[in-house]
Amino acid sequence: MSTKQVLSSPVFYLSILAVTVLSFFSVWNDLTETVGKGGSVVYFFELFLGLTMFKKLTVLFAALPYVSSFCSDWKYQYIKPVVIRTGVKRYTWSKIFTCFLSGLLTVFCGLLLFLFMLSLKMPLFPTEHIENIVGPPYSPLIEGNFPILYLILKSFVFSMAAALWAVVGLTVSAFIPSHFVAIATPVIASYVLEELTSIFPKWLNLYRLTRSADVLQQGPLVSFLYFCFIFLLFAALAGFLFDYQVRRRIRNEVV
Amino acid sequence: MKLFNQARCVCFQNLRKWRTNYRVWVIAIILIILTHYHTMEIVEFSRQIDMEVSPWLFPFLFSQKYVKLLFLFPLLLLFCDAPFIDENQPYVIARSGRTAWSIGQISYIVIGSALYFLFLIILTIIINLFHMQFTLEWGKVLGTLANTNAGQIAGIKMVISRTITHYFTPIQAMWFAFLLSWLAGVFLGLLIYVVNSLSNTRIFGVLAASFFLVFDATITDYYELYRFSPVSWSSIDRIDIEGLTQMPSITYIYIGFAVLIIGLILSAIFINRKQSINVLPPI
Repeated sequence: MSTKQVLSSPVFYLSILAVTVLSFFSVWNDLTETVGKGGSVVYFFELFLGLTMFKKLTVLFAALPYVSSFCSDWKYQYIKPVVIRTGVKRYTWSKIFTCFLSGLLTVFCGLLLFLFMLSLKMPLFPTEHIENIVGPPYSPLIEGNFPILYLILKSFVFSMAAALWAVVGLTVSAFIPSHFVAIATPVIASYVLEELTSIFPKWLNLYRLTRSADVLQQGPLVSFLYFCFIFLLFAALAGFLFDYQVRRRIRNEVV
Repeated sequence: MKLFNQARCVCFQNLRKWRTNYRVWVIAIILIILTHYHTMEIVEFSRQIDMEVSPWLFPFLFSQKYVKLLFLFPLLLLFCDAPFIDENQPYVIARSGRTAWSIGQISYIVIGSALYFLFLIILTIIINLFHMQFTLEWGKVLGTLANTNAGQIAGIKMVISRTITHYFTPIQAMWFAFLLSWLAGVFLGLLIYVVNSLSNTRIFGVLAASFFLVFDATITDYYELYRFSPVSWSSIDRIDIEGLTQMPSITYIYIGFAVLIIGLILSAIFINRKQSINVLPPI
């Protein structure tokens, strides 16, 4: 029901468009300078992931469709009839799943649209000096049968990270049920935790993991599965915290 | 005198609400993050060349293209609930009268905007305190970045404008950057206030202010258009100092801000006298 609610919401589709517009906006300067002088999709994609502060704002759009749903449920007490019928566990985990899925789809579809629109005007990969732009773990994919997998997997991992931050926003909204806090938390949490984990080993450094850096040196498949595992694990941890706090709220343990 | 005392009470009551307003805390955290992100490269550079940076980073904070958009957007979020009519306000209006209430709300925008930019100035200093050398000069790090292409080589995105270091002393630059940013903040706050009061909603004011923010971002490098963009006037490197460029002069900027702000204040007071009081839920 929650997933249907998101997929039928215009905010979800507007957020996808907003991610695409934001991606263009963040590389617009370089894009206008290189019109007619070469340039490739992968170059602008790496530019977007690597250089600008605007990529942080994609997390904001990942949060828009569903993160504040618990705030509304709590504020207007829609939670009661739902929990009576489904139980707390199903309610909380459906929220977490939908929040993760909506965050993932918003950013992933937005980025795919960005890449598709760029590909209408320029080649996916440059014909020479490609090694200056792309790197491991996904660079071997470019020499394979489906080089486009490089862009898709990297976008997917970036979207997984955005989905994780959306779940963190949902969790914080259970502690502070305010729409504004719920939507702003993913941006703040992503920055703070990426900075904090920079002191950890590189395989736990969220900034590197978000950008699909070669932290394992085990090739594209293992690296991709590892990135997904880490983001799912952290999302599940945040989910447990959300579940705990919602149970407390329902038991009237929170003043 | 009674009118201004009542207005002062209305204004300070709004400011006292900041302590318990999650929105204000979130805005403060966002500003800390933005300031850290946009100044860390300079500090990293100063570490690499083993020199400490001077505390005068604020005048350069909005120099990078589109960055002013990021720094001013939290200001829109701060004033997005203008004309600040919460559950408590009908009682305040009944006690103070509309004109005093209106002046109080306008004073709140003026003071809130000043506090916002003072907070930013303090942040640029406190965040990098351990890598700072207190001097009244620009210092070797900012001087090097302004006068050489070291910043480009080191990949520093913040632009240390030579125009600023050449024409202004650090104190002058800090003062003018603060003053002009403050006036731009007051303009945006009042614009949100007036448009929201007119439309009795919260969205149209933010949209109107966002238009001016985006307009500033899109006209970068179109010098002749700076005259029509009040948000652009907040950058001191966009002032025509010697009369050699198409950018607006400081006199034009002062007169422009004075006309806009006084016009908006008068409109706000006039609109508030006729406005219906609709209590909206907190954001």
